[in-house]
Amino acid sequence: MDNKTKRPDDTYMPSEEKFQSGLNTRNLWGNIWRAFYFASILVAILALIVLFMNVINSAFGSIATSFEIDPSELVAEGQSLNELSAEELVAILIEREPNRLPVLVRDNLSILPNEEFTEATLSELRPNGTYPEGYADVTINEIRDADNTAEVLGEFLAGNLSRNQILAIVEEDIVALQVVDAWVLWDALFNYEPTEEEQAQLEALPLEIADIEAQISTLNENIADIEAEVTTLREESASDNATEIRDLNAQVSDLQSEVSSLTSTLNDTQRELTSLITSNVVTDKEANYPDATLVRFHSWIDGRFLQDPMSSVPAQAGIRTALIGSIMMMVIVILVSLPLGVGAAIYLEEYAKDNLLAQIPRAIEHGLSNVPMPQWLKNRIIGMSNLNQIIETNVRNLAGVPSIIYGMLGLAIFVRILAPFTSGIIFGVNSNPPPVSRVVSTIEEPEVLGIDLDLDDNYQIVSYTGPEFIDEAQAQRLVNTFRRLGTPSVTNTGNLSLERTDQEIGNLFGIRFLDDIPTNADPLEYERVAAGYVELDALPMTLEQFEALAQQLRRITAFTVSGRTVLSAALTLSLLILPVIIINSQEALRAVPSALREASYGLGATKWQTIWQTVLPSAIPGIMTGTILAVSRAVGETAPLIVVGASTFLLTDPTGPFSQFTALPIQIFQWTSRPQGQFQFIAAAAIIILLSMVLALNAIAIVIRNRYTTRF
Amino acid sequence: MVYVPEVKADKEYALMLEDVNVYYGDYHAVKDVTIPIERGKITAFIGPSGCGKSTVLKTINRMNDLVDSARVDGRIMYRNANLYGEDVDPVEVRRRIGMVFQKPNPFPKSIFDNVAYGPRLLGVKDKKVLGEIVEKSLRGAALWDEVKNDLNKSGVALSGGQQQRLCIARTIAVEPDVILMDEPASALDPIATQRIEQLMREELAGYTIVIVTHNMQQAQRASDTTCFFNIRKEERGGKEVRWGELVEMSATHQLFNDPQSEETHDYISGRFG
Repeated sequence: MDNKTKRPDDTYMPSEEKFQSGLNTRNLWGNIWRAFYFASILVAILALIVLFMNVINSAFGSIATSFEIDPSELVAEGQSLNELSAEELVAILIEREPNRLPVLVRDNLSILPNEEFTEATLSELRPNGTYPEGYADVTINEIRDADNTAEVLGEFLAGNLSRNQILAIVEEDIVALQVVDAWVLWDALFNYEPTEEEQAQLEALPLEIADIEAQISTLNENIADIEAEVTTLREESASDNATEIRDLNAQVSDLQSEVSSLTSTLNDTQRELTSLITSNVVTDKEANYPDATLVRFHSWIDGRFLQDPMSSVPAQAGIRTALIGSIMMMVIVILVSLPLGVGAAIYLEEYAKDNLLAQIPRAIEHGLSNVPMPQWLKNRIIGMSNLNQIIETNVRNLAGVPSIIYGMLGLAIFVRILAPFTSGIIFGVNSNPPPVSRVVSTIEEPEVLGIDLDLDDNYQIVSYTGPEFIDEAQAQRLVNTFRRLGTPSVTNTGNLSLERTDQEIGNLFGIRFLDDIPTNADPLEYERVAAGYVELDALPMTLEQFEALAQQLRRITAFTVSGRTVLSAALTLSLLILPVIIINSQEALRAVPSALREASYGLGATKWQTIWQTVLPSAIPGIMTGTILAVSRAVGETAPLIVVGASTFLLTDPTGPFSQFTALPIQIFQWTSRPQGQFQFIAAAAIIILLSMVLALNAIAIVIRNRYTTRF
Repeated sequence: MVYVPEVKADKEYALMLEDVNVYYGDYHAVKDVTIPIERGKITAFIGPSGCGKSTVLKTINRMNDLVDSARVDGRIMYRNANLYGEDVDPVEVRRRIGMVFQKPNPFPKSIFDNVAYGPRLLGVKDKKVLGEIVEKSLRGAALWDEVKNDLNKSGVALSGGQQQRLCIARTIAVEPDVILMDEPASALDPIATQRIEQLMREELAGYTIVIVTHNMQQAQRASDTTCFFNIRKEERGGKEVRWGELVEMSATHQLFNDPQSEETHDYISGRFG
């Protein structure tokens, strides 16, 4: 009996052969999809590996260093700088850079503003310090005029700085170690020294080149000789010697073609030599920086990198300000967004069903119950009236809004509208002035200025008296100009570099000039300020008048600009991750079994007691996990911070929520956009730090999830 | 025809359900239930799935308030007050009328904290007093001897039967007048079930208990009075409408041996359900 007759005739199932071949096809499709999934994960892993390799490749490698003064010149035979005492190090400073000592005192020991520095006594500069005997109450100016300036200031430095600080100063100012070139990790590992073969070539090729050059010059001499002979023959009798001349000319062209072929060989060989030289670190360095020292392995991430502030010199640049900024923001973001997000989630999840909004759809449903219309239309109308549902849907949508849009929001609200709050002025935290009108009326010596003006809250001139050559319209323009200049960099110290010719004008703004950082000004800010200067040039003002006006107006600009603070950025980031936290917390709350709620109610708990004592404790691991992941997203955000006005070049640490700030992603963004190669290396180093921060946060989230997740 | 015993003056009643109707939105789930529940006795609710016995149980301590669309008509008299009166706080009701659920649902906290949960809600903070309450309640639920040495162990780590007894201990810790049990043994094995029934008979003697059960033997073994609920159907506008009704309420031995209603007889003899 075969299979066919066994089967009932009316079956819908396929025949045995059809089933077999169908099964093969089904399995084949399964395997194809499986291969596709495998390929997907392979691509993802490969991409990750390439990313990591790339970052690590740049963050480590070889460097060539050089210095202005060899450290061995500074110390006795067989010693190194590290072995010297503080006094010996100061002695080096006094010997080599006596004129820099006041600057060093100002930068390292002064707590006063620059303008008061020279008038201050040593004990005012540094209260509770140690002073050279008899000099505690002598001003810097007086010390400068004395004969033993360097000795006194040197003693002052040695008494108040640690040995390591002085060592750092000596290394930076005297030795001035510089990284002249750098190579990536790949080259340091695999192309460091030439191989034997390459070495042989490196020795042989120059000889070959010399040989070819010699051949060429011999040939050229031959050509010259023959040409001279030809000339002589022509002079004797061109017609008689025609055959001979033709022969000789043929010889010349032969030789010339030989020369040209030799020349091209020479070029090839030279190119070969050049590529051989640049193909590995040692020969590259020898060829380009014969005096530099080669360090085979250099990590761009080190203690100094974490501790140093920004610098325009890559080898001296660090991420301290950025790191502090990022951590401060992270703390504020958690403090703001966690309670708000969890609160919103609890409301939506536990209370929203009972609120007034929830009554609307019920009332509508009731009202429509006897109205003749299709059921789907009724459902649609009822659904649209459910405002709670709409709110929840929109929270979800907000989580997908591009971050730069949150940046715009933060700029409009926190930086501009809430500036008095985010700048700390209403708390009296910042050194910013009381309201403008009062400041203007308390100008010292207004009769010297010849200008007296009063501004209302919109910075419009209310009353104005001044010299004839400035009318009120011009003064208003000036006020407007200063307001437009109102950028952080105007009031910040050292944030801006201008042309030297502008320096005097710039001084009026209280800008500290750093002559050695011409490239690090934020180009955008520079243009804005430059635009302001064109207008100012048009005004017929003397420098003194300008200076006086600037001093008043500087305070106004300080008032208008100070919303670009850590607090503004942190609040913006909090808004950014708030929807994510709300959604995550809602999920966590929803995951708490309703049996637990019932149990709690059954024991006579109120709603609040049930939420507080049963629902929340069970949901907290989920809430924490979601929050930490959201915060790790916020830490890596760049776009909103740029919009809110992170400083790209900040030398001073943020001291509190009302300080100007920068953050790690901003720093990385700024470094990667620099043309100089070494910035790419420190950018990679900063990326590794940022990645470790984010990965550490994620690891914490995983630990919390695994350890504290409640099992019901 | 509904068979309900007459209310007699010489008996003491803990609860009186009078014409209770339960609605879920437009759906009329339970119709006209009237049950007098005697103080200190165990009353069992039996009936096929969907007959409304659990729904009626939940109306007694107002757990139905937690369901959005639920609405209750009629009166439930407790200590001469209507539990559905306007000035009655459901929290107060639930503290007096405790509930044990079908699936054991201890909090993911220690055994001690589970039992102390209710007293703490009521404001008992003294560690010593709480300790006494916990011991007394655990003894009351016949669990003390098994857990007295690890009161800090998580309640979730206990076995199913122990968890259910922990839930009973948690319920009696607030000293309720009435304990409602919604199929308390349906998720347990026979031995654990036996412990629960024994517990109801011995340790909980004196409590007014209302128990919903699917298991007719359990009702027979454990209860004094039994209420039989059934499903009613009706064609209305081309749709089948179902609701639950009380059919018969009698002393347990009478209901199982000599039912007054034909329906009850059919059900207990296993013809349907």
